[in-house]
Amino acid sequence: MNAPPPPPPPPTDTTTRAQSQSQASVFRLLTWNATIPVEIRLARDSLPQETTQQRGGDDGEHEEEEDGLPRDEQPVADSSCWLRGRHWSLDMIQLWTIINSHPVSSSRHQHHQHEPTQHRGTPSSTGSPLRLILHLKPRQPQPASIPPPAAPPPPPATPLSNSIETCRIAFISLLKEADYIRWGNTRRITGLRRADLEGAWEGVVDHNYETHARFTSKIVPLPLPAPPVPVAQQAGKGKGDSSSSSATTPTPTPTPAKTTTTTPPHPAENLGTALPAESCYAVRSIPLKLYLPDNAPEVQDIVNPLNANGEPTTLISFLRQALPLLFPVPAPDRDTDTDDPTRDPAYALATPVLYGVVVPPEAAVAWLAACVCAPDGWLRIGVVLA
Amino acid sequence: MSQNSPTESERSAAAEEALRAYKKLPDNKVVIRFKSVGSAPIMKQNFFKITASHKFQAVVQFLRKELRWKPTDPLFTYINSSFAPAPDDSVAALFKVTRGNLFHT
Repeated sequence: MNAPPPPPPPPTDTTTRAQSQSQASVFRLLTWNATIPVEIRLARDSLPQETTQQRGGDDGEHEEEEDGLPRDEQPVADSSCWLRGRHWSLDMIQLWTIINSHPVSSSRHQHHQHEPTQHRGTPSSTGSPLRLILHLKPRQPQPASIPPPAAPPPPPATPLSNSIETCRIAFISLLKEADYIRWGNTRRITGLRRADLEGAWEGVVDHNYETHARFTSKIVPLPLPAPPVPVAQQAGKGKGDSSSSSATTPTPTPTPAKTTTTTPPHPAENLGTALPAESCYAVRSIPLKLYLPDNAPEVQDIVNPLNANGEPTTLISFLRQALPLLFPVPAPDRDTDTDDPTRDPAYALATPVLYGVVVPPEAAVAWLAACVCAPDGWLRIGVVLA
Repeated sequence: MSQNSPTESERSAAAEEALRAYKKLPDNKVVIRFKSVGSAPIMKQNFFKITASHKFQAVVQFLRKELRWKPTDPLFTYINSSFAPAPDDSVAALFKVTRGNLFHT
């Protein structure tokens, strides 16, 4: 009997690390430069009443000219809109003013009264990308080209000021929280040089990838290859769907996600081999948040990078654990055909979206967190209903 | 399309029903432990139960009330002396971050 050919020699650690670093840089840069089309619709009843009345009274040309928005528009918290202003209150009045002061939208009412407001192109009239306006725009004196809001904005839900300094502190706190979730402590962040830590914030403000990458390369783990699954576990594994064989795959229960008090095992406990410290599969858990539509509370859960079998945790296995009602395990005797042939059967009821792109169900969560996480180190996935 | 395949309207209804279930906030409570750091006054009682669906802002407000501090007095809160959560973080999520242990503030 012929012996099987010997496997090719594994690449050296240096080569693997360099390849992973290159791969991570490519995806992080793509994510950094990515733009998504945003359509914002403001309902008249979402604005403060005095604003509408005051504007209507002051401006004899009245309402259709001042906004051009249809009366029955859905508010921003539409189920199809998963983009949310995080931790900084989205100043609706200011945003509304900025959008309407844009040349595209200001000439819009000449064409059609009931067209939704559209903002095309990244630069706004203030020269800042729109995403920075959404997240970081402080309440400060505005340029002359932007008319001031007619009424003070509604009070924020939390008494946070929206100064740049407050945003910076909140951003650094998010970095630390993500690091705490990854490693169980914040030693990596607190051990950074001050310039590197500040570079994370300065890079976002200046939209400078190089500055931000100095921080990312030291904190966010690399997408090193997943550790090999032990042979014994491979033999014991069934032939079914790999995601359904995961230990993290839940039994669908009719209860929403609830607080657990059990401590899940460390992902590397079941592996016989030690993982490199900078591997995305060596972390304790992955900082991840799921955003549901229609103002449902965000979902945050502990996500181990590897399941009990030592395989990378896939997105669908995590979704079935965290949101079993929206991502049920398809019944084996039920035909999984859908009306839409392009829709994945695993996403029959809802679809996870990352930067406007549907994420494949078999994507490894650890890889996503290492390569396409947000600038604050969190992996934020929106869920869109079918 | 197969006869067993759910229609688009059935899927939509099921998705809406699932979303309604996730909108319901949990009513369970978690135990938190306050630990004074620096010049913060020492509290007589350190362990409290708080509803998990509350925002962290509620914890801060409760702490101010316990300490009888004015709203303008500076108060810094940290989880396990590691990071300062955002006021709109849910207590349940922070409880999970600490992996079921008491989280210190």
